[in-house]
Amino acid sequence: MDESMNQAAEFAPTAGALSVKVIGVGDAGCRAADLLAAENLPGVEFLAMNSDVRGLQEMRRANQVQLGKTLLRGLSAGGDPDLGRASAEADEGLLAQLFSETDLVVLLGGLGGGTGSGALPVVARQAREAGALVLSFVSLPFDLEGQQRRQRADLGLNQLLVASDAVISLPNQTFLEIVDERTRLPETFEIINRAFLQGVRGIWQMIEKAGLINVSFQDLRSVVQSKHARSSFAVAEAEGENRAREVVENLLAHPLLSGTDQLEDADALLVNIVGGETLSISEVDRIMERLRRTVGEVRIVVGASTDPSMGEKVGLTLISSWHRKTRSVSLKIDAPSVDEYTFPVPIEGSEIETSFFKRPTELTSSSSRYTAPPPDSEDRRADRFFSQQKPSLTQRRRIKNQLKQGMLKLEAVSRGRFEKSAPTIHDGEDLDVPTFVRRGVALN
Amino acid sequence: MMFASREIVTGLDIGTSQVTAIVAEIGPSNVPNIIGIGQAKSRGVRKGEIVNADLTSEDVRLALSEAEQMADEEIRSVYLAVSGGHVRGFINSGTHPVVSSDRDITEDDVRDVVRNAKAVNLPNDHHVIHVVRQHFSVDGQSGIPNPIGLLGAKIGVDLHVVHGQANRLQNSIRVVKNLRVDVEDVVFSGLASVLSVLSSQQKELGTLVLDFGGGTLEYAVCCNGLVKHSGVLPVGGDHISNDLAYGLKVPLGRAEQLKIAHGSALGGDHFRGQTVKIPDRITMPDKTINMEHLGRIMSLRVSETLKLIESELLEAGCLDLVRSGVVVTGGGARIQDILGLAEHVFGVPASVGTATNVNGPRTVLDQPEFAVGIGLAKFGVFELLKQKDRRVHNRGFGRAIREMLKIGQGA
Repeated sequence: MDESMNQAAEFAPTAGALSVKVIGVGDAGCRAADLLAAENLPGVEFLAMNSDVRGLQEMRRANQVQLGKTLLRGLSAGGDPDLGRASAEADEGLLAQLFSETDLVVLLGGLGGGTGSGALPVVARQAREAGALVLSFVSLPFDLEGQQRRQRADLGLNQLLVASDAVISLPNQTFLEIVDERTRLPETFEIINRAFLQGVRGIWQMIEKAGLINVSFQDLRSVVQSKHARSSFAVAEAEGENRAREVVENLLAHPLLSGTDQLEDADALLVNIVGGETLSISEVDRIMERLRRTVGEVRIVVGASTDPSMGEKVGLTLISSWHRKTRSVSLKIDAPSVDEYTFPVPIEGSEIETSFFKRPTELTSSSSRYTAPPPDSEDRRADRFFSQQKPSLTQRRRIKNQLKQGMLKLEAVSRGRFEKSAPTIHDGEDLDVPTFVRRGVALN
Repeated sequence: MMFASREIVTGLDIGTSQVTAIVAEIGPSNVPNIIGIGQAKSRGVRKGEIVNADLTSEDVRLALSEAEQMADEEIRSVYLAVSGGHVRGFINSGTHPVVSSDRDITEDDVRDVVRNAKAVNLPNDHHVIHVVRQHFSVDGQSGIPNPIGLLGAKIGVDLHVVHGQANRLQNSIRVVKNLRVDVEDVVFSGLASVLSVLSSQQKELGTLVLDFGGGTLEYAVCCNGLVKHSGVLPVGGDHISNDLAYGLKVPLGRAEQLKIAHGSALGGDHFRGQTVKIPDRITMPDKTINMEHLGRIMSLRVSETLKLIESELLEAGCLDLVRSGVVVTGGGARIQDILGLAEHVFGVPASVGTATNVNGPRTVLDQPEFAVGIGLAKFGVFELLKQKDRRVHNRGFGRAIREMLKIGQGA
């Protein structure tokens, strides 16, 4: 970004003048960043940060930053998050300098290792302190990698949640659902890296490309800033006559969303629709209509743009911010009073509509009305305390979803006696299919 | 008349579960008198439409010969019932300005307005089965049975048009004609049931007739002595059996038996915990059927079907006309508790339809399955009377018959 930016303004309002940095931290992050750098994303700067020089040297496209030069002397953190953190903290000055005048920092990393789990939160904090909006894409280890890595990853994730505006976690385990049994390990990792790529590109497209309906950087900010939200994201594409319908179905079937479960729990959704030049507003409308029907009363920020390279395809990127409570509130108050948990106050600087707080998700926090205020404990424990209190709602949702799932089997139902006759379609229902099947009434 | 040429009419109903032929003659004081019935199990019909012409042809032959034997007459022609998912009813309206200078409405005006209303927009391959004239309106004043002689500037009329796909209608006609039996006329089975089971009082007050057959459910709403609305829902007893077969995992025939022996339109809950054993030749111990499931599957289907009819009537604006009751005919009338369910859904008393204003063996008249056949025979008798009537130029009487019929003004 060579243009002179206004020093006073933390965030430049005009699109195109945005300064975006994509930073991979740790081995996994660096590889993802390097892969991303090969993409044609103008206006984005790619950095690879690692304490391990060997790993860094493999990077061909991303600029390299060595962490903990004095501390580790170019060796890896060896799976010790403390070392990773120390190495990043040792270079805080460098980081602060790096992030000055940056609007959006996208962090990529794999949690569970040393540098990833340890250094990522530090980098995120530095970026945020420098005034950037920080989105973290992190992968969580496979189950097969063992309990220890899993714990490290959880710890790192919790720290990262505090440090960055939004964390989009991609549990590697879910990718096992996508790949088939014979897929080799390198290919699997490539698929995971591609998911990173899709996510970053989706966000970039959303804020960078002007379109039918514009999503600006500010919209992104309003959805994620200071929420410390755990987010999920999914990308889908479809083409053909029914692409508007199919793309939504593909999206909802995305394993990273694990059903529509999470979407209903989400606080806000950021949806970006990209299509070729044939994309029509009615299609955008249809897509949104379908999404709304699925997610209910969730606030949706929608963007739509055209990209000639899409051809006949239409792509859908969805980012949901899905935080259990406005965490920054609990950060500020030592012993939260009941009222403040029932009606969390929007924190300064975030552009939250008041209606945002009326949604059913807020019920989760109001469940604390009849319980004593949590003990004065460190944040993570308070978090766990709250999460224990609300499974009832999520469970209820899950049951509802299971019933919905039952309906999906519809297509496979044999029509028995009417197999060979023309179906009796009435209001879109095939009346030849047993009523109890269509209604999803369970017989046990 | 001479003995050799006793004038008989035959109604033939090729239904999904059975083929019925009813032979009637004109009895004393012109009341139809049923003298022969023939029945055969129908094998070639699905959802009211012929899918296997050969089998159906055989079944029709069986039914007709049985009826011939009983009546001791040779059947040369039949009135044929038609139904199926393609048959629809709708209201079409037409208006006509009264041209004469003194604003006196003449027969010509009436003829013109009916002609205007008959200009219906149908799909190419559809054929009009019936046109049922509703009351006239003169200068916006509605509900006038006969406007001739009144004064007015504009006269309007609604017609209830029943139409169906020509080819599919032709299917059943072809089957009959191949047996060297003439088809005098085709009648929509929903209207035939109306003719069979409704008293003139019921027609006046507003009654819904549901002919719950094996493959289709025909419905017709009568009010103010006229058929206001009619149609077909291609869902019937077969669907219940199929649901049971699927849900209880028994063969279709077994499901059919279970439906008849244990089925109920009001579901599951009062069967809670009950089971019924059915012999099974393959698995030596008898198979146990959970009655609760049976009841639930069946009640879901039946109540859904009735609710579909209800919403259909609501859409057509006819639901409010159903004030005096619901009359259920067809094999479905034998479903246990269906009257209770119909009362619940439509909010009016329900009863099983039995043939009225016709003479014959009680065992025939009381069977709800024969309603369509009897209705056809009745229709035929009225047509016959009309013809005779024309022969003796007794116009006044002919109109009286037409008033009685209210249908069959198809020409």
